[in-house]
Amino acid sequence: MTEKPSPNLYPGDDRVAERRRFILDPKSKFEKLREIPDEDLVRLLGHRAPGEKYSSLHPSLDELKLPEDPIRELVPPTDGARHGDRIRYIQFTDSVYHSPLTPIFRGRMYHVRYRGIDTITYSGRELMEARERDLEKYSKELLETELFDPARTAIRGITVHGSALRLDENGLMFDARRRYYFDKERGEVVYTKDQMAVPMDTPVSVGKPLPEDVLLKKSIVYGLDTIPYREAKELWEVTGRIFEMHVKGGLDPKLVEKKEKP
Amino acid sequence: MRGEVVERLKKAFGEEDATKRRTKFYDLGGWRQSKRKTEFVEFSRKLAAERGIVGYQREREDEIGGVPLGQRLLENFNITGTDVICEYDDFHQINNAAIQQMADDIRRTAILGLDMAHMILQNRFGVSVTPETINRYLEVANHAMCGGAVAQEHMAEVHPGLVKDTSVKILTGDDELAAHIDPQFLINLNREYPEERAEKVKEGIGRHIYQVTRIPTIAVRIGDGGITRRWNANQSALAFIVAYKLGGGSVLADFSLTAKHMQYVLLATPTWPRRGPKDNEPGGLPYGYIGDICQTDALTDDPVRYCAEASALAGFYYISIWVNNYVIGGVGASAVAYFCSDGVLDDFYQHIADYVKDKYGGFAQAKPSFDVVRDVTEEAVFYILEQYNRYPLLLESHWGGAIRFGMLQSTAAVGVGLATGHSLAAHLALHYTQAFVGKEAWGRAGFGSGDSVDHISIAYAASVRPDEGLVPELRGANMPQDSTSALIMAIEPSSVFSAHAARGDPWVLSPVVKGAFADSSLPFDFKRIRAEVARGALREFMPEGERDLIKPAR
Repeated sequence: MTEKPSPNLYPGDDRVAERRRFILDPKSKFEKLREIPDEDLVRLLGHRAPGEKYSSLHPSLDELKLPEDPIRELVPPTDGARHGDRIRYIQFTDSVYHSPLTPIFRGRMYHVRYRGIDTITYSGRELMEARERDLEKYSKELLETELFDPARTAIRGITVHGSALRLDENGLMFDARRRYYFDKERGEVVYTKDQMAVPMDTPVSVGKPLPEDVLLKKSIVYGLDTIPYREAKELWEVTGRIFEMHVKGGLDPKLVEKKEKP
Repeated sequence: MRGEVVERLKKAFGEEDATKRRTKFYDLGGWRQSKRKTEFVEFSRKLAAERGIVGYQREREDEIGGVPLGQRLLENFNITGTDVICEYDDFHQINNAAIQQMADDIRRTAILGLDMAHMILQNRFGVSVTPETINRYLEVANHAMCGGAVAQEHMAEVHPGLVKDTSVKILTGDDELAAHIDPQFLINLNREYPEERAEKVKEGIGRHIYQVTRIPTIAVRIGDGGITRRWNANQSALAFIVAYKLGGGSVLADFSLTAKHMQYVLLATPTWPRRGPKDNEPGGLPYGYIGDICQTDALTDDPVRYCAEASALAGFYYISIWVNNYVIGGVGASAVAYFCSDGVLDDFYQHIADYVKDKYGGFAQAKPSFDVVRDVTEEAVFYILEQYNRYPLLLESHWGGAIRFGMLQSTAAVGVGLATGHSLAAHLALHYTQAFVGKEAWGRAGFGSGDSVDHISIAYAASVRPDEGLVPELRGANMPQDSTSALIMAIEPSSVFSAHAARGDPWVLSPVVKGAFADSSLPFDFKRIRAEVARGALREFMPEGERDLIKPAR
């Protein structure tokens, strides 16, 4: 019996490639670094007041008489879908200065890790949409674990620019809306506005920024700070091969069809 | 990166060190740090008092003004190749008369082959066509094109001062004929180009005769590019009738149809209905014509300078006019400002040109292959990303993915174009950059990370089917996949003009279009794109199509 193949998640044997594989593996357990109370999370998202009931788009699926559908049997609904929650969003901006995630890898990770989401990738930010209670569950992981750095990652529903700007004197990513500040006494980043830059009644701390060496060690970006671009040879071999196959296959599929073994 | 580029960045940001990663924000004066925005606010206040309706209110710091601008430095820009310093707002197409005139000069250009018309005149009407009759026709045509009546009596005519930029000229590769054309009506290629280039362009045009018409700027500003063909057609037909004393019914109808349309050179095809514009508008102009319309190769044999100027033309034409004006409207994200500022893109182009020369022994010396595409693309991308790593000021300046990938993709395309002289190879490099190399290096991509156009284009690249493949010279913003991206049309032309520049070709897609834009009497100088936009930024560029003669003095 042949051994079950393991998925080849990302090419390369350097530490950036290794970290990218860790991010993209849906089984990965991310290290929890901080505690964001549920009420604070709700405040940051700004979709409902803390303690307020979830609004719904439709009655609970259990109460609905739905037509026969084999797919429904195969795919159980998420908790938010079962309750008929509204679809809500969270958006993260990732600094080029080694935010633990980058938009492209957020998109790929969201797709393999979180059910019932939609996502869109921009050059500096990533939007996730999901049923409200699912969104809160996923957001919790995204904020409380090593996937978030209070200084280099930010929650921004609007006015998202800043990812490529220099950092401020405290090492924080620029935010034209000034949703957060660095509390020097506590050494923590504190949000005073929610993701849509609406002032909150209660400030929310998202914890201490990670040290530079930790960010660099966990960076998923190639470059002069980490692994030089030119050294990621296996990655460029793989991309070059895919590129060539796409050109040839687009012209004539026979050029890239696998030969049958005799 | 060249020291002068780094120095320029330091000056723009008022910094001593371009490599520092930290700075101070938020207390820089907000929008007041910008002279332009200050001017806008003061002007808008006066306007509100005059007209009783508020408009622009940058000074409002509540939700009316929206985002607080100027929390970071609003840096100034030095337009490359000039000593002009300007602001970001100066690149908005509404604020810059030179950018508008550049598009108007393309929009109002009609090119009409005269060979068939002359054949019918001789064979069906039995009249002689000689240099003398052509000159007579041109004089009538110039009168008619300016709105002068020639056949019908009791017509309303146009004030000549409103249409003083109108002309009908002859373009031909036939020196003997050209020598007999009244010089005021001739695009004199021998005067516009160095001798060797002029000979090549003339050879491309051959002994054919084309009429190059510039209808009035004010006409396309009232209408759109779609009227250019009709304005030219109607007035040309009337001029033929008068100049050659033509009459009759069916034969005149045959002639009229032939003279107006049969040899009409359509610059840009109409776009799909939802976009609106008819022909001669940016959405339908093939990328190959950008290299032809740009005339910098008349000034220099340096492909790098020509490519940089052509890139600026592509940027202002497709981004400022097509995307910002037609597709989006209102506020403009002028990524193209960075294509022509502070010498940065020129530095990137020069680096990759030097690399190509060193590695492949000169331009157009490498046989196109996947290896060459990969090698040059990787060098272009890695070099630029390394500069972003070294100089946080550069990265802050190039604050958005559209800007950075504009640089990466354009430079990779120019590099492969220069190496191979092959536009398809360069085109592949452009798309390989965003679809794979740049994106995987940083885990982020360009405008909205919209790399669907790149993946689709890679697969379709070698296929030559309309709407899917097309040779790069014929592609344009009108193609389905390219219409999905707000940036791609500004950078794709670089894969075309670079390849032809490497080969020393005198034109890219058409010698006729090349020659038509060699006319140095045009209001916008297509030899010096960036310098003209700089004059626009300084408000020193005098556009055509003004209405001063028919309105009260301010």
